Amino acid sequence: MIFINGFFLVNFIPFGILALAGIILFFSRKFKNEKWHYPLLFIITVILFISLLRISVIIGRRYAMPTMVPGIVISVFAIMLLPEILRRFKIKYADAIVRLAVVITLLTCAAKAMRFQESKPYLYKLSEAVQNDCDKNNVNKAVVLIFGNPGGKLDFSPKIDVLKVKSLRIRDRFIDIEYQLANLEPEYLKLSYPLVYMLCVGPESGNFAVDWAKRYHDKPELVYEYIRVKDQTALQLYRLTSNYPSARSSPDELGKILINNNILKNGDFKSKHRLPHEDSSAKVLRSCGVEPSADGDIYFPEKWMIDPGHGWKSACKPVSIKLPEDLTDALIIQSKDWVSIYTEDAFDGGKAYLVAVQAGAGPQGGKLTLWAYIYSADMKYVRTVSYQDIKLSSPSCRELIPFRLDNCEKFRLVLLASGDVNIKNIMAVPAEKSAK
Amino acid sequence: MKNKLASLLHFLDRDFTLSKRQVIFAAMALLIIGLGLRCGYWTMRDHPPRDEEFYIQAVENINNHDPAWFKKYDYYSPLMPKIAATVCRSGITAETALHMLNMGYAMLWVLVMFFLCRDVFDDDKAGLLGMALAAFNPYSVRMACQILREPLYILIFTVSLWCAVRVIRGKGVNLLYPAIIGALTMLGIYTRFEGFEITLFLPLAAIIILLQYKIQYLRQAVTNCVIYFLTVAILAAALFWAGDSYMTRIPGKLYGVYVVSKE
Repeated sequence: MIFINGFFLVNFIPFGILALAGIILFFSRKFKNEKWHYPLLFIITVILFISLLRISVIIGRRYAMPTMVPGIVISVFAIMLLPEILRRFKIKYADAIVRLAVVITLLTCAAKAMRFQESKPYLYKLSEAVQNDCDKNNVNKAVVLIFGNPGGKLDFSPKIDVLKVKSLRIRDRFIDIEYQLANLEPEYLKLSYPLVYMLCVGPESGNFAVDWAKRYHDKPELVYEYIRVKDQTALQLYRLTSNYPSARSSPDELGKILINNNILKNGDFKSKHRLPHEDSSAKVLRSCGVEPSADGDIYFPEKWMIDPGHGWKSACKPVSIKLPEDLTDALIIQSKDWVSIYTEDAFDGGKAYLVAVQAGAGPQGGKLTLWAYIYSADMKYVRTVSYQDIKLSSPSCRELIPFRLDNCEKFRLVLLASGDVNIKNIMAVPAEKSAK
Repeated sequence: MKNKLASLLHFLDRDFTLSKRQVIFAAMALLIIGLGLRCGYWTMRDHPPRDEEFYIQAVENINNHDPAWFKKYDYYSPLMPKIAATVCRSGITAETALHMLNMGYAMLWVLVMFFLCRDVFDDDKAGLLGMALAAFNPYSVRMACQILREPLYILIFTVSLWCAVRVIRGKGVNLLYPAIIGALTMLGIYTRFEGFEITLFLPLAAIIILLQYKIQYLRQAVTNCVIYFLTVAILAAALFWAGDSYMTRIPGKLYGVYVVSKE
């Protein structure tokens, strides 16, 4: 169905119909023309083959696009046959009628081409509304959550982050939001951003703010609304305001909050300890190609562990771990596969944390991801939760990750690295320490 | 009034023939109208479409030799951004280069449509009619003003189709056309992964030649096919050998689309 729809879109309906008529006429013996027959047979075979091949790859109407070329050729064929067909019905001025019809249709083509350009003033107005509101509230960073498809690119300033929630459907709006934002609760965006905007695209009658308040117990304020006339779609911009100092702090102030309230021990990996020769972790590290120090022992950051059963067993050689030597150094992990390290201490679940990771990638590139191992109250392993990739740049950058684990008693933070990764520091602060 | 209409219809009805000069003039006029329509559409744009950002970033990352980007998007058909990146080295911005190239591909396509229709029907008037349909086609007008891979792909597709028609018409008896179609097949695949559909053209053309001339052209058809497949195989092998990550991903993509999705 998408293909047929696409065929008429790319060929323009009158010429799409002519192309289909042309295919039928081609197989009619009455209109056989030896001069055109074989090249046209080729063109028609091409269009039929492409139609069959394309049906599997079509996910949008524009994927029917290559049918436009043979479609035009077959339309030309049909147009060239039309006077002859009209003459058979003894219609006077057959050639003239066909030519006039073609010219009129071509002019409607041009008109149609211009009508594609639908004005979308709201795209600018929405960006402006966000910028003006930020200026009014005297903040220089914010995040916009986009629910639905606004129909174009929103031109926000570089200081405004955008998170797209693509699969929003109004009927099951909160199921989708819950799914998309499971790891990024809107409340915890407020740890990092003083203002959280939500752009909701939906029917005019939708009541986004009320539904949101029911789900998240925080009523967003309507900042801007635009009703699209053609389909009565409402584009509503809502705002949530953060009361966390961490969101409004300068990088230095935020650094102080993080340092003063950090609950992770040895987050800079500076203290290290010797792993006993017979220790299972030491054996796994050695088997992965981690080179021992000059005294033949393997040293590892204190308060950090490896899980021999996860990642490490299947890791391809060689894995290299270099511990920081001085204040400017970082823990360097180089590995083809994912390898993980996790905190020895376990933290309380059901609370929100703000995790700050300062890390970078080497010249070969690397990836770093934050996970959590979930435990029961008696520290029995329950499951693993993957969180999010950490942005890496060279030499290092700091990324803040709002973090919350409900429905669990205890958890340990896990860092998964692949490629050439250097981790300078990791800190975790309970959210209440960052709240007023 | 009735007489005036009748005389107008008689004028339109007369069987006219066009001289070479008139054909060139009409073709030029259609090109100018086509360009005018596209420029008109372009000036009416009041918002950038969504795909543009990605392609502009792609061109900038190619020129900055960003390894992370190459690793992340190694499955992505590279021809269109790479051509634009090359043009960008002359000092123009990625956005301008992409827009200029897309408009250029779109206008070249309108011109190639003239040659394709002329060779299919062996008639200049059919060529002009095909060119008019291409110049006024609303969807092609829309695509020409956006940053998409489609204008380049449609150009490669049409040139391949035209070469195949010339082979059928016997205008491509020499061995150049099969080799050109082979090279265009690879370019098509590098523009969009669905470009492998161009591999159909030359074998189909060979079958049509055999239908048209019966068995007496068997040698010509087989030679054309051999030249064509040799060109495709040599280019594909060279790219595999050079470790081109996109080429190594094509079999997996085809398997994913045509085998796994069916299961």
